[in-house]
Amino acid sequence: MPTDRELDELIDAALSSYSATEARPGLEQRILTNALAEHPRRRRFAWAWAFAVPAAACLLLFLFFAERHNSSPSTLEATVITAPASAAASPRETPKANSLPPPLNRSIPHNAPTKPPTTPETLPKQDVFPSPSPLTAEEQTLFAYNRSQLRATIARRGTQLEINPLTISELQIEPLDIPALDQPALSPSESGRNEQQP
Amino acid sequence: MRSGQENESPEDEAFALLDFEALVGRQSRFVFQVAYAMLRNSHDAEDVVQETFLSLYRSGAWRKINDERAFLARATWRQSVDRLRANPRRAGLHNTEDNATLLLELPSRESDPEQTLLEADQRAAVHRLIDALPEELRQPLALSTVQELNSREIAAILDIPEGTVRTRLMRARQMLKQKLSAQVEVRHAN
Repeated sequence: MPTDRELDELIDAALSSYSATEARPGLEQRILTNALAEHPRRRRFAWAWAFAVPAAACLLLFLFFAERHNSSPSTLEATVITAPASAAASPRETPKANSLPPPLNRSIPHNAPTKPPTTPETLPKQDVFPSPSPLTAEEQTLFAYNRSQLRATIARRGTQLEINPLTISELQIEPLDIPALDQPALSPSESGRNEQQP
Repeated sequence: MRSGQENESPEDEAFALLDFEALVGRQSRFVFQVAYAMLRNSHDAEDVVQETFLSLYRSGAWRKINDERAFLARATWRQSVDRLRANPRRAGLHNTEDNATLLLELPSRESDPEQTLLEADQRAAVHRLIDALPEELRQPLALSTVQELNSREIAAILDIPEGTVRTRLMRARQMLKQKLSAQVEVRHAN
């Protein structure tokens, strides 16, 4: 039965071999050689990056624009003027045929194929124009205002007009030259000839 | 120490290389011992030494080192642990060619060949027992064999408290003694 001290000696002897082991000669030189070999490789990779990054950026831009040009064309948003909301809430009801067409809320492709020109849609005609419905209070006010302005304008112009007195020239009637009645009467044929002669 | 590895002049690069060469000359043996204590294979240990220094050179971290030994020991330990995880079968002396080499190189006080073989057999048994220890006990014990590594430095390498290192060292030795005594009893019984 080994003592505790003998066991310690056995363990220490085994562990001493750990630190007794040496590397093969030339390890430092191999490390430095590898480091030197790494150095130009780093430089070369740096140059490669300097070329690769701009090239990749250009390629990405090209692909982006090509994709955009082909599959997903650019669109122009049509300007849409929609009717105000107050119009819908107006008490004046307009007939359905008079209503505007729904707003065009679609995008028009920039490079869409050109279509043959189509005749514009004619707006529906009213049977009675203006609308037979009674005027609203605003319209009546506007109408009255226009009428008063028109009257005022007419009155202002009336005052500015100067009526000159009319001058009537005297009648000058020349005396008629009536031939005497005692001359012989001509036959109808002669009288016709005389009339034709200048 | 110079900094800014990317934009340095050729003269600075030459000086940096000289600094790195001096660092390798100072610490390569120590780094090898740490790696060998962890891996128990000289070829793997040399590979780890090269990887450690090369990764330091690539990153330029070696220019900012305050405590060279602690930094290198920690870096080497990490590289060794990665290698052990990547190929655990290669770890351990009893699986490598170093086994025979080590047994032949061990000094023997006896001139009797039979006694020499007996001692070599005992040391091989101790090595096998050490390799069979749990990693949390084997690593502090192996690092304690490296020159001038005390408990505080081992604690810094393993990132554990110093008291824990001492406790694990004691437990490792107790476990080894128990198993060794059991083996010796079996041999004497045979």
